[in-house]
Amino acid sequence: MIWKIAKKEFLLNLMTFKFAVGTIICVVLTAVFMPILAKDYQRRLEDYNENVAANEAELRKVKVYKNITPTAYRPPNVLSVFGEGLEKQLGQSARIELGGVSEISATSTGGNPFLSIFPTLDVTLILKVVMSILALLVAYNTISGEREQGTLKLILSGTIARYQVLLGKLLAGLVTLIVPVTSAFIMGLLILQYFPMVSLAGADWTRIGLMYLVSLIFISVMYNVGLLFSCLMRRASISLVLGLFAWVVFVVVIPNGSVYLANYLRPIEAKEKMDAQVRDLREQANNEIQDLTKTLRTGGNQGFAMGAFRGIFIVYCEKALMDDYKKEYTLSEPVKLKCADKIFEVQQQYLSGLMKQKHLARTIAQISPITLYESLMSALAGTDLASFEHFRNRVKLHTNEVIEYIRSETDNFSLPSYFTQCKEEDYEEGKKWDYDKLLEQSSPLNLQDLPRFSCGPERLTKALPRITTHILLLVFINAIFFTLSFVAFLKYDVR
Amino acid sequence: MLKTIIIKELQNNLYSLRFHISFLLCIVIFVVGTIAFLKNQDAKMQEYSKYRAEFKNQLRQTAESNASRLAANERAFIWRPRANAFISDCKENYFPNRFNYSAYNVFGFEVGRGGTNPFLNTFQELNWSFIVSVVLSFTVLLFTFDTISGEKETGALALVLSNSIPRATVLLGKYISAIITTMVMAVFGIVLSILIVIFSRKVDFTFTTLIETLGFLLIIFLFVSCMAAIGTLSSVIAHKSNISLLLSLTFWLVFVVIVPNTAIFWANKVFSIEHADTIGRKINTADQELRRNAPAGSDTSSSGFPFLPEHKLRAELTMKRMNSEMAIRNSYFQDMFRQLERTRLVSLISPIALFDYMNEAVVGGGYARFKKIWTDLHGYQVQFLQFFKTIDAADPDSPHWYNPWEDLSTTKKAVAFEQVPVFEEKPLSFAERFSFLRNYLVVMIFYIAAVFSLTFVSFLGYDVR
Repeated sequence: MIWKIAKKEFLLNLMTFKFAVGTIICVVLTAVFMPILAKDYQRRLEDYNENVAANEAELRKVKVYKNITPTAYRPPNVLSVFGEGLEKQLGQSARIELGGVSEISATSTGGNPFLSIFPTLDVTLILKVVMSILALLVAYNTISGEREQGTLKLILSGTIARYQVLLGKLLAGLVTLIVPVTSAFIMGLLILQYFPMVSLAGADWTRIGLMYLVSLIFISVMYNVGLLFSCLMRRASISLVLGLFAWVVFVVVIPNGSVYLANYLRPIEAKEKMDAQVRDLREQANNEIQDLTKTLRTGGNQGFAMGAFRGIFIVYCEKALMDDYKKEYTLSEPVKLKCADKIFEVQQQYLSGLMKQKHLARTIAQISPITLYESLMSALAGTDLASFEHFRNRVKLHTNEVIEYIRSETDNFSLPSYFTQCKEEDYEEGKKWDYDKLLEQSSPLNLQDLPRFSCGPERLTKALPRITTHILLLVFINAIFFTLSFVAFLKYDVR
Repeated sequence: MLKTIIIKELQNNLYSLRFHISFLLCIVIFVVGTIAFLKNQDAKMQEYSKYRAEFKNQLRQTAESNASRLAANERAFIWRPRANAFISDCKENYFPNRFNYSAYNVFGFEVGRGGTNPFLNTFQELNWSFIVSVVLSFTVLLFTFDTISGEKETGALALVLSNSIPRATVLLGKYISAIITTMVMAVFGIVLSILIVIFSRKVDFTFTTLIETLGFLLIIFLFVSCMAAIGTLSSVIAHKSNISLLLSLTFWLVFVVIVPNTAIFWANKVFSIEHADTIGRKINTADQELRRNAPAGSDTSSSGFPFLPEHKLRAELTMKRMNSEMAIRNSYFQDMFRQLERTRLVSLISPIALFDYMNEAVVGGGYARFKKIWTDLHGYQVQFLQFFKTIDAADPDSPHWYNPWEDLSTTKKAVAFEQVPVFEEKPLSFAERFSFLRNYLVVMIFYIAAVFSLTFVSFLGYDVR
């Protein structure tokens, strides 16, 4: 009997104007925006490739080990077209520097800073806004509408149980809503495949499959919200108005309010405060280095040049000076490294404050299934905060690798090749140095075995526990709304 | 007759469930928003005054030790948290609010993140303008979508029109009553919010704020009229209230979600500008060129003796390098401004965007404020440099070779801190605000007129059966 009702309802739904409009809007929006999103991804990928190439070119020009200060770039994530999350908001690069902490600016650079006032766009947005409204529109008159028409009375006068009616309607609604969601996904993927630079790996397909599944659960939640209001109210128009208000609260008020409240409940330290702490630490380290090296000379017969990564290095210098430089770097670099560790700690503390606030905001916002869905989608796409942490950790590891490399190549920063291109044996008493000739003759270092930075997306298996809890929460909310509608429907006055 | 219709419609509206729900929602957000604002504002102001005191302190120390350092050190001006941000924050948290300058130049601006969390998604604060642009715009559509098509369905419209009332009166009556209903909510919420602000005593509610509030009310009125016209239009073009609801929802979605969310793509695709990295490379190339062509000795620095001829060469080179960099940067900034302005122009299709821009003018925030500071700061920088040059000219120990990054070849004497000009932000005058507002006002009025006449024309041909 359930099937009969479901089939009849499904066919009725298919014929409605709202269904037609909703599906068309969903598909058209996907068709219009997917190319834009894919092109945007392509552009970011090109930028990324260009940056990596420029970085590599600079590395080939490095003449002294001190100047190895490459930049690590985060590759753009192809799945950001589905759920953009924080992908474009957060920094995409980090400069790796001995003694300096590779600072990942938490704000993205490179674009027009004014444009950050405009919100983002992705497939999640289309689904969360258009599909959730469509789900409400399909659901709002299932019960109250039939009561108004008088058909509900007729159905229930037969032998059919109330739960069968409700289940049939739920099933019909879900099958109806699967149509636009599926067509939007297929449409989006077809268009995405058409772009040459886009390549989806096996893991990406798993993620997309999960996204599809999550979208279906989400749509079902929104349908159940509509169903609840339909079962609570006696007039269809009132259930619709209530449903729409709930929607506005879910889509606009809670996401904005949660952030606002999180700001209020758990204020964060100003970035300037952390900057000041970092400045102090640097100053301390500088003073310490000055103390350690105050007996050493810095002036004398020497010539500087600007090398790779805009770093200064010494082209020639006299013997005594070179010895002093050697001593200086052996003393100063460990201090700098220690200072860098301390700075990392300070930054970590600041960042953990930010992250705690973010988590609080997210926890508050989870009252709204729409925000829950959004954060799930960005987690699945690998564009949420965790992926940023992942990048940060990779950068930290890579920094250590680079430092270790330099340390081993220069015998704890004590070889001349650390800071100058001239060799100890070049030195002769009373020699005249030809700056230009020296600069031209010197050859760059061979950095074949310098570790290169690579950062793929976080593994899905690592993110899975987090994602699973969220999916379970979504399923739970779904069950709650359906149970509530069921309870309300049991007492529903069909007259 | 118009009056009778308005009164009847008002009664209908005020007793309806949707009014009660939206009224409740509105009041709750007004109260929560204002209280949270006051708390945040308090913390922000403390932070800001601490920063400002420290800034002045540093300025004093530098002035009293070395005039050249005073001129050459790069400083940041950060704008003050606006006291009237409870009306509208104009997304200032996401705006470049930090300006870097020295006496030699205004170097640029950045989004100083101060107390905001970059990990949080861009969000809107729960202030008046948010409530109006999102919640009230939605409510006003709910009040208007079934005014015509709903009455047609119940058959009431045929009865009304069978009397001697012209259609214009009916339409106007319904239209005006929807506006009044929405304005009742807005005014009630605003008054409540003002009371909270006044009694908290944390923020001054001045005469200017009062005028701003009145201006804001005027803009709400225009905005609500516009949205009401759109709602009535969707009621008039459909014969079933379900369909008109769908239409007005679609309008709302386009205005609130699709237009602002796609703006960034119009910006990047249609009005694209160069990437910052490209600009960086350009600056680099120009810089290397300058260094290569500089006369020999321009790059050395060894002696601390100010009158060494190399210092003059180097000062000239640094000056040239700074100017070449700033020429490239400034033209890039102009590109950025143009990109933003054009994107805003495109987003004017949405009355909600229009409303936001009008808000900026009324409260003197957002882009209008940024532009004002940007211009003023350039004026101040010229004045500051002039001041430094006068001081420098009086010092016989200085060779007067201006080097924007060093203090070697200009005066190292102290200056009395009291004489040093300090940049202070001047709020936008009402004349400036009006000139910013004018064009938007014209567009808005045109918008209302166009939509309403379209509604009117369609209603004239409406089949009431």
